[in-house]
Amino acid sequence: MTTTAAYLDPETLAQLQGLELRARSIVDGYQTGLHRSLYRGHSVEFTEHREYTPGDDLRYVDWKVFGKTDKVYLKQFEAETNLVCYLLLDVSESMRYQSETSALSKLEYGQCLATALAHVVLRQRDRVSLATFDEGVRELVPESGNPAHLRQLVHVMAQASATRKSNIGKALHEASQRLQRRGVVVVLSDLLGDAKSLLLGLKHLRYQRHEVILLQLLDPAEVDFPFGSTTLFQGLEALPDVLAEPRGVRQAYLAALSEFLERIEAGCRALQVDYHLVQTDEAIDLALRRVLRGRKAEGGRWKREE
Amino acid sequence: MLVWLAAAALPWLIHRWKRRPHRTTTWAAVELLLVAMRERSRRVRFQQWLLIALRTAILALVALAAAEPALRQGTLVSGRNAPTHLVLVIDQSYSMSCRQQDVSRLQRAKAHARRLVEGCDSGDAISVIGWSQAADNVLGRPTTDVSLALSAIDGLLQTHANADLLGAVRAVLAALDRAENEVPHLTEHQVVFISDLGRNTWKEASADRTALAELTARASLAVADAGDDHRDNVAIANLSVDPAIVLRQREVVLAATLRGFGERDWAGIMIELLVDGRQVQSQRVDLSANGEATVRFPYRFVDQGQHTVQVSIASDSIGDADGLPLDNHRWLVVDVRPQLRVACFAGKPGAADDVARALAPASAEADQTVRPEVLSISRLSELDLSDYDAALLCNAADLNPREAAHVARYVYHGGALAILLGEQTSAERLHRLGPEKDFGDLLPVEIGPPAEVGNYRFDPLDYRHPIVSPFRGRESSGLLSVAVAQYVGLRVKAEHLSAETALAFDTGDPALVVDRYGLGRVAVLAIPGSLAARTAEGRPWSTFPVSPSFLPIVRELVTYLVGDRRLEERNLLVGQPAVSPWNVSRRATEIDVRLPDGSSRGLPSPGAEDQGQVVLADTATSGIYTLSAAEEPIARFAVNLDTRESDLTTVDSADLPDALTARSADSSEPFRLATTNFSFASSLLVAVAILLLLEPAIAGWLGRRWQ
Repeated sequence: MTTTAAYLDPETLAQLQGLELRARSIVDGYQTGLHRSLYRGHSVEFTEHREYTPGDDLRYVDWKVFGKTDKVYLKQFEAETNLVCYLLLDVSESMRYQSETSALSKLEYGQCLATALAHVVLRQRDRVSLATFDEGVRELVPESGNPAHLRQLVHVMAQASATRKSNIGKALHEASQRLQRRGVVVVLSDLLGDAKSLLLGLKHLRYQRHEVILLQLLDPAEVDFPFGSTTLFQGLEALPDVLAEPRGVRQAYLAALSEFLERIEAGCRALQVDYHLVQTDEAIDLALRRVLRGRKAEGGRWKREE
Repeated sequence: MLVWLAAAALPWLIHRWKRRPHRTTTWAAVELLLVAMRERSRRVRFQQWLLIALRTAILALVALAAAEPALRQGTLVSGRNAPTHLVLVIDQSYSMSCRQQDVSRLQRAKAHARRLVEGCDSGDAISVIGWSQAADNVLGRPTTDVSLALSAIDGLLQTHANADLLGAVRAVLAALDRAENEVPHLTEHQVVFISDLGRNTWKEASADRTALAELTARASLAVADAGDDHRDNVAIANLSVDPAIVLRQREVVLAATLRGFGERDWAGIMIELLVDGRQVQSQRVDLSANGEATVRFPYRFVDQGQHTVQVSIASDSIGDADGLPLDNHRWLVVDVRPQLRVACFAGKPGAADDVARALAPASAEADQTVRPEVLSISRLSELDLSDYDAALLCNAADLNPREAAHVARYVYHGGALAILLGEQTSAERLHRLGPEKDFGDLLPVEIGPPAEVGNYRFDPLDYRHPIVSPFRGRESSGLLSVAVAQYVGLRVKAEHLSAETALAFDTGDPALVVDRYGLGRVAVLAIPGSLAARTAEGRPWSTFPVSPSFLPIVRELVTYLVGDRRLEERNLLVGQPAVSPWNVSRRATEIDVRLPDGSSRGLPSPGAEDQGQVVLADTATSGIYTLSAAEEPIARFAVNLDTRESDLTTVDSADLPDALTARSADSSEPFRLATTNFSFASSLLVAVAILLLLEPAIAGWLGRRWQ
């Protein structure tokens, strides 16, 4: 599945027609007016002056110029009025897992979901960027609002070999440093690793004032542990093989998984990170709807960081 | 045991199980899986250990069950098949000679004993005790040699003795003590009494439980009944001669007492009398069931000396109905004397005359069976008193030490002595007849001063004593009218337990005291047998010598002192030692003993330490024993059965102590006492079976808990 159409089946696309991605952050923009600028005058690039006309905001008067010329000019900035959505897709080896009953591996599901999100963002004439990561950021596709940008994203996602170990924390730290503009960071990963490192990475992203949406992608087998007879579990990402009697270990595994998920969820709440658990047997459109609806519902909760 | 080879397949099966096909899958959440497995291992560790312990116990019990024979050898455990000390107590009493279908009870008992021995396990030890009047541990110590034990059983012979149950119990306890010292690894003791369960023997078990209680605490007990259905029996229970002093040419009555046992009436039983081995008379008698009858044979012995008398039941007069032929005979040894020779030693002239006349009245019609000789007391020490049946010391003043010893030796070896005290009696001197270093204290009384002169009468003390009993109902015979003016004070010595006061004075003081001394008897009369004795006033001490009662009293006294003593010496029961006086001056190195079965064996001639006696201890068989030295006869003895065993009634099982369980010796199945039917190995295998059933249930329950 390397084409856009492959990632976005018609049914899915039809589902996406009515969706809007409403950013909670304020975007100063020109296109729809739905976004308020995240910024109020600093950390924005100055591009040119224009003559003052009555009614303009006096906060942007360039007083240095007035001092020199006795003329009132307004600074004009390259305000980021468009939403930038950064899609961080986990392409480590663990994302290759696909149980017998699942149609898609976690990676494939993540690719579909990332593509869907990219499509939504581009449709609302916002900008989208893509970064794939495993032990670190593997590929970074700069943001663009061009609809044809989607094709590039799909291509990059298709090139992922998914053979390396993952280090989400390190990857998030790196992404935090490389992402230039504030935006919405959507992390698509199974998060199977060090939870502490993950939360530190998320914290870094939040420090950079990104809105973070964490989508944990898990196979239904990883959630239910439905195995019966003795099974040799061949570990991915260089983890050891384990021969186990699933019936005897299931309760303990579910308990360990529950504890792990609760820790992540609690950490996300504390960091004001939007967390969603998505199983790969869930319809992508439903998953997307769930994620986006969640953002609408929680919009009032968010505090702006000045 | 070879079935355990199947367990060798266990490792292969485990290997195949481990290698059984299992699914394989890639897995991303390995870390979570490892966390889960670590957590699970902590939680289920106890449960796993429980299953491990359970399965280990199963294998261990199987191994122990397989190793049981080795454990038994090492006596680490005890159980039905632990090394056992088997003590066989085999009744050899004469009731075991009873035969049925030509098999005696003893033969049946020995056959059963053989079966028990042959049924012993390797490592068991066996003791064999022959049980009759004296229980004899035949082997001496426990043996594991089966052939030796069988040989000991085969060597047990029929005895003529009764069975002493308590003696057997003591012998068994001694055998257990020995086993515990010599073979301490034998911790299990089983005692089997093989007997015909005669009631006369086994009723002792109920009477005295102390010894049995100790035996019960130390060993398992059982009784095997080797008896049969025979209950009817006739026995000659007694044979006597009257009078006891048998004189040549004087008629005596030989009386045989028959006793019947069981429920049968006996008619026309032929009783035969044999004297010196020759049948002289016979009579028929009828006997009712459980009744008694006496057959009397008048007889006159022509020759003096020892004669043997035998009374037997003619076997053809009772046939096979009589269960026990052994008790159909009885013997008697009779000393036939020409006369009774009595030495009358006078302490002073005339002191013995009245006594001598009383013993041998001068009239032609008088009984001449007694020949008294009046002798001076000074001749006492020079005479061989053994030539006399009795010696009378009449009013003797004193005896020197040599005379005292001479007299004491005479009485000790069977002589009869009467001391008639009078005014010459010196208590101090006569007390030389007191404690003699070889013969003990002859005198049964302390001799005191004479009583005050008065008017005393005899008190016959209800005529209880045989010397005065003929006077019962004959008060006019003059005994009670004897006037006594003075008498010597006597006090019976407390240590003379067999002393009897045959006649007393109306003051309560003893008049006539008799006692045993060694094989003989001694009597002390507190008044002289002579009118010559006078008080200070000149009165005769008593009118006794002129009383009509004097003659019979003196004769009865002599007869009593001589009496049936020799009869008792010569006629014994089985097991009683035969004792005969022996003149140490006789030159003989060995004494020949001819036994009732005609065989002979020797006895060493007695030495000085034997006090002039020959003792034959082994009188296990009934019949006549003859002792001779240098082909010269010394003595004969008749040994008879104690006829308690002639009653063939068996003891009721309910009367046996609870510790004893009786079962028939005819049972062919191996005899085992009441112990658990489970062997040690069986117990282990049962435990294994239970655990094998529990293990899957426990594992399943635990597995459900794990899920």
